[in-house]
Amino acid sequence: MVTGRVTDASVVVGPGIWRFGWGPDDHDALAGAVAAGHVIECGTHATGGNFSGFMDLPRDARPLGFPIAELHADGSSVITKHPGTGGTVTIDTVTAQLMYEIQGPVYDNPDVRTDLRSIELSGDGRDRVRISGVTGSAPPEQLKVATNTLGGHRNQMEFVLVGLDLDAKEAWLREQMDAALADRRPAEVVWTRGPDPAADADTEEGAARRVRCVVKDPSAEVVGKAFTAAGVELALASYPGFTLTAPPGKPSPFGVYRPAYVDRNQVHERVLVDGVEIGEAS
Amino acid sequence: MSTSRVPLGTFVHARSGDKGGNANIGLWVRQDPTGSEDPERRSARIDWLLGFVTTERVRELLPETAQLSVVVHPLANLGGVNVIVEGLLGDGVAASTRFDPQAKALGEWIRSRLVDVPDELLDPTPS
Repeated sequence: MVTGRVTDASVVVGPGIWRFGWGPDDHDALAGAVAAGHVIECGTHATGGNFSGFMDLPRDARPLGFPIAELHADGSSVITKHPGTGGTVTIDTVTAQLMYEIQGPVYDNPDVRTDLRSIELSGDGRDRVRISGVTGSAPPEQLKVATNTLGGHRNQMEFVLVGLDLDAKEAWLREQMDAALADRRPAEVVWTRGPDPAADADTEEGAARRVRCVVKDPSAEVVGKAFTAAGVELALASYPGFTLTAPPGKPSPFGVYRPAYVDRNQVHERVLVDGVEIGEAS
Repeated sequence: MSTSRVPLGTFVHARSGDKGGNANIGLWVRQDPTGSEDPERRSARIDWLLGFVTTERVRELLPETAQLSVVVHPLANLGGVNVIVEGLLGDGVAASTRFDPQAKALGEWIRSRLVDVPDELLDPTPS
């Protein structure tokens, strides 16, 4: 199945509608499919990847298996994975993905609102977890639109400060950089630092504080060489032990994401097969 | 009631991520992977977690959130809560200057924070 941009869970809901003939009012079945879709949409996130219980996993070089949702006509499902693959499917790995990137107890999808508080998880054998009891209600009147605009350009430098007098080294560095950037100061200049080393460290990296300068500006020029040259030119002219964690890089453009909403009656879905329009979406 | 000062993650799992400029952390009580679990203790752990994670507590454990809106949604059926921190990630991952601009490791950070847990909820320490 090939589609344009759709919500992550819709990649499972769509086949469910096709296979089981669900209509727009089959809220519970749709909600169950959304739950199953949400669980498998991030692949190995459901089979032990990015999992805080990783100490209980078999940890070896095998790639983690991708999850499979066995979807039923009532919208319930069993989450599993191919035998012989890495990782595992447990109530906790499934819960981890249910909890991921949600905005509260109700999860909105263009076809249904899923009540996450209704979800029941149970073991169904090794690496098999059943999702059942999911209830849903009519979808919101407004559809979510993901908008992205060009925000500008960004760049960064990470300075390494080692050993004694770290606060003074950092203060001098920042004063010099501020002065060097004064003529065309980037719209945003953000300084952050890594953890402070313990005294008397027995490795050089253990004796280091990393100080990061991130800059953003509508103009690539302002955060390009004008910025990196200012930093690099301090290499022989600033605090002792000056070094960077990376050579100066080019600026990169960044986008700003904002969700927006549109009345669903403003959106007309069309399906074309080989250029011929079929059916009409309700 | 006696308590011990242990990492929040001792029996609590976490998964965190982004939703635009907001960060999201799920926290829930772990299930014993061997399947041998005292259901009463699990239930007691969940009750404790539901009461423990509040807006004030999150702001305390994650000082970076102190000035932000923090909303805690209970999800008792999943054994825990979902926490939303508004605005932690600015204008979203591409624009954010935050170390960890997608809040991928926010959950691991909060699990590492030391908290006072009633001893009856903890596994007995081998003597």
